[in-house]
Amino acid sequence: MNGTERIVKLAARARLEAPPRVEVVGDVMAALADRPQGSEARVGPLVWVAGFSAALALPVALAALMVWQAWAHPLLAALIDFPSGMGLQ
Amino acid sequence: MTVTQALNLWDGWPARAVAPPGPLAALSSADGRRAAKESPSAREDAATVRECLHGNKDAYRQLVERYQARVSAIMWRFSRDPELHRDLVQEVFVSAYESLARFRGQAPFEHWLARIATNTGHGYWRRQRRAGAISTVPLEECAEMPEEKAETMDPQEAGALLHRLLEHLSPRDRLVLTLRYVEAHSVSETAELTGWSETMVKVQAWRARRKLEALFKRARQEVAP
Repeated sequence: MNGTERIVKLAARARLEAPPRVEVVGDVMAALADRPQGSEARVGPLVWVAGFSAALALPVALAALMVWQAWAHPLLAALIDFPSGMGLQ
Repeated sequence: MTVTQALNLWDGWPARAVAPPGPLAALSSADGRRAAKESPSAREDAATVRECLHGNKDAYRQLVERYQARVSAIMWRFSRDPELHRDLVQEVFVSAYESLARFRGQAPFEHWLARIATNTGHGYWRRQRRAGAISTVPLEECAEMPEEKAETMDPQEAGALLHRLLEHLSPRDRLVLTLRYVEAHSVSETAELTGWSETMVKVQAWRARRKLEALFKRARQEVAP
């Protein structure tokens, strides 16, 4: 009888064993009493961080847009100057 | 013969010949999976989970009452110390509650809970291993055991011996052998419970059996004069 056969035979006997009865309802409910549910517990702080970041990002984005519009586009300027820079004009 | 074919051949023997279909046998086929999902108890569980998600904590009490015996049976394979066993059962239900929002209802609640229980048990074994709190049975004791004794042993004694015997292996090897041979789950059920692929389950089981054989061989050599 090899190791696996031995395990299989013991397992067949062990499966007949009745596991102990446990009563954990009270303990589980007591442990959960102060706990928020998973979704609230984990997502809640992230929602606040995301909201705060969005609120900060909005004025920065608006300011950036205004500066961009007031500023000459460097790529455009380079393209306009390209023929003269190459001595074509 | 390809490696996969060889693993299939290896894996089908001898557990399938001895073991009855596991409690998650319904997962093995698409029809079985659909039937399990649409059973009245699964629909009732899904409704109870929705109630919990709407903030009714007392609804969770019904789920704990309904499944504590099932979870107790699973966790008994992970710890045979009554106090620790009780703590583990409790830990499973607390973890399940914390992840309840991730229950999509694609599988019955019982299967989802069984997966959490398996992960909790595996985590417990890893912690135990790191802490070095393992007391294994000498392999010689088992290597010399006559075949008849293994077949007629008292179930409780067999369970305890098996538990301590598998402590010689790493938590990962121990998990795959426990699920495949002690719990008599099929490869697909084991994959479902562990989150591994079926090929991974077969490879892991094959490696675990090889390690076990090597341990027994060494034990027999030590016993032989």
